[in-house]
Amino acid sequence: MTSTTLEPLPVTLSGSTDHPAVHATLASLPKYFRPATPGGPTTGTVVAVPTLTALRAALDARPTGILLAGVAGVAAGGVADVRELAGRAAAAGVPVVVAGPWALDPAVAALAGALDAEDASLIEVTATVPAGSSPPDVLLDQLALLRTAIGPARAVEVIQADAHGHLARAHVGDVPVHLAAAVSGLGTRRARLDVLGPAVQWRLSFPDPATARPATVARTDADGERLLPTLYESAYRAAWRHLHAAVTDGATPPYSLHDLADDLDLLHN
Amino acid sequence: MTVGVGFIGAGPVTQAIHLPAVAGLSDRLHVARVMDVDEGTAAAVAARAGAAHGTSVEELLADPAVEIVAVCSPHAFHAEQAEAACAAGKKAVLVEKPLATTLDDARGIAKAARDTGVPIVVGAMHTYDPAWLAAERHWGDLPATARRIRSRIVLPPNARFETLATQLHAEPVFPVRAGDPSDPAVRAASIRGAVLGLAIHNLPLVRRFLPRVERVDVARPLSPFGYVLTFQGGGRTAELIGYLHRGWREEWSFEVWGDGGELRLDFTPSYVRAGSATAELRTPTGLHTFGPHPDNGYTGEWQHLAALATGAEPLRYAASDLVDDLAYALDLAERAADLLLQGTAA
Repeated sequence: MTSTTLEPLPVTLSGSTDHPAVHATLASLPKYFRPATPGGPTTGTVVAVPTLTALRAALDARPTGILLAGVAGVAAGGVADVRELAGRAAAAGVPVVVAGPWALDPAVAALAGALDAEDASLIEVTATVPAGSSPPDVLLDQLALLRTAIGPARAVEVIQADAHGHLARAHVGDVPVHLAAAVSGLGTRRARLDVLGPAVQWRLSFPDPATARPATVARTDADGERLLPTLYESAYRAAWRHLHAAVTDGATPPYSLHDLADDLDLLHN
Repeated sequence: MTVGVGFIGAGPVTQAIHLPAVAGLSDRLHVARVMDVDEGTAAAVAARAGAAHGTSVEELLADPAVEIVAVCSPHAFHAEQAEAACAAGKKAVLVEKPLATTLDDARGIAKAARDTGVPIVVGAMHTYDPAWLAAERHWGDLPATARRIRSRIVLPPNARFETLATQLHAEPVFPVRAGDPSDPAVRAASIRGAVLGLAIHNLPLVRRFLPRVERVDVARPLSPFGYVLTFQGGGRTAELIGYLHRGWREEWSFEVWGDGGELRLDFTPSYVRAGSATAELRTPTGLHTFGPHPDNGYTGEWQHLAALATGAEPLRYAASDLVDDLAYALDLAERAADLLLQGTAA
């Protein structure tokens, strides 16, 4: 946790990130953030942006940090664009945190590398997502979760994708990965990450990321099942914490633009 | 007066699943005779139920006290024995899954059933699970509007449940799996065995929502035993995960996403009498939950068999349906094996 003696960082919310839910999240971190002066310059503030295009524009205004609110539409763009933006941000000394529904969930951070899949037979990353979700965007969110929870994927292959969901496969190290999503017109967004091994199994269940309902993390072995302590914080709130830590302490974000570029590369190749 | 049941084959499934299920319906069923090629097994298992025993199928079929025949022998004998039971004019025949090892054999059983009027039931227990049947009565047009299906069977070794369901007469002996797992032929045999040995439990359910397989995209055997299978048909997609580990935790689920509804069932493990699945049916009007009920699908099978024997209810699944279920499983197994033989599946 970073120091709380600093003044709260002024925040500029750009485009669709100027949303009551984001205001509510920021209001829950009053020692870290405060609204920037309405209509004032974004220079010297941290900025939340909804898209890469907005991120590019925001960089020109020399903010102290940027939160990319999600990866919607990112998959449609080129890897080079993301890498170029990552390079520009690094050169300008502007940390960028890429938010998402699952990757920055505090339950993942709490694992602190304990989730070892080396002996696993299969990793499953499954999701149920709302109608209108773009399969590549959901896949990027799943790859981000895989990266922060276990490690980067390789050899991603999309098997099937349509308006009703997608199927893909990949590897983490030598362990096969099954990625799937189903579109739901009725339920809320949710996800699971299962690591199936002959002696140990892990189960991470992520409820609706729009709420602070906690992910459940269970490790099962011969001695029983251990449920890790629950943390009632959404991945989005955690993303703002990471941005504060990056700006004030120079901490490395758990999921950065470079990570996003690498995952995008996996999708495109 | 209760209906007499004769068992052909007295292995672990008969001992751990069927005998307790029949005993639990003692108001309508009793075990009349047990046949096994091993006379000691036949005698010991029959003694538990106070039944006659023997090593001859013919003797069992000739016994008038046997009104329902349960074919629980190795798969290769199912067709011959089921047809013989029909020819013997029994009141009903239960054939453990798979119905047969070939489609021709399955058709032969269906013909025998049709010619003799003897109803055939396949031991696809989940299709008799009270929660499945309750969900079926309420799911409306979900089979027509289904888009994605996911079946997930993650289980510990059978012994974990067998020993809690009965005290086996003798420990089962399983053949050692051999071969180089990188050899496509070994992998093809492995996926074929996994489909017909484990995935088959949920395939009749999958077929309700994805009736025709057009293409298998992924067929990956898992070590030490399991599979990942994905396939498509009619604009629908199915994913099947199966995995047997060395631990204790089980998860046996079946999910469907459709345009106007969603279904999830969580089944209890086989062997133990842990009640029915829990079914959750989500529709635009809300979430409807069915179960858990005290009876599981095995008890459901035997309730149906008893009702068939007494004429109390009509046959739930026609023989042609059972043949189609087997055709589906065999087709899927062969397509998956072919993919592995081509070396492109995993």
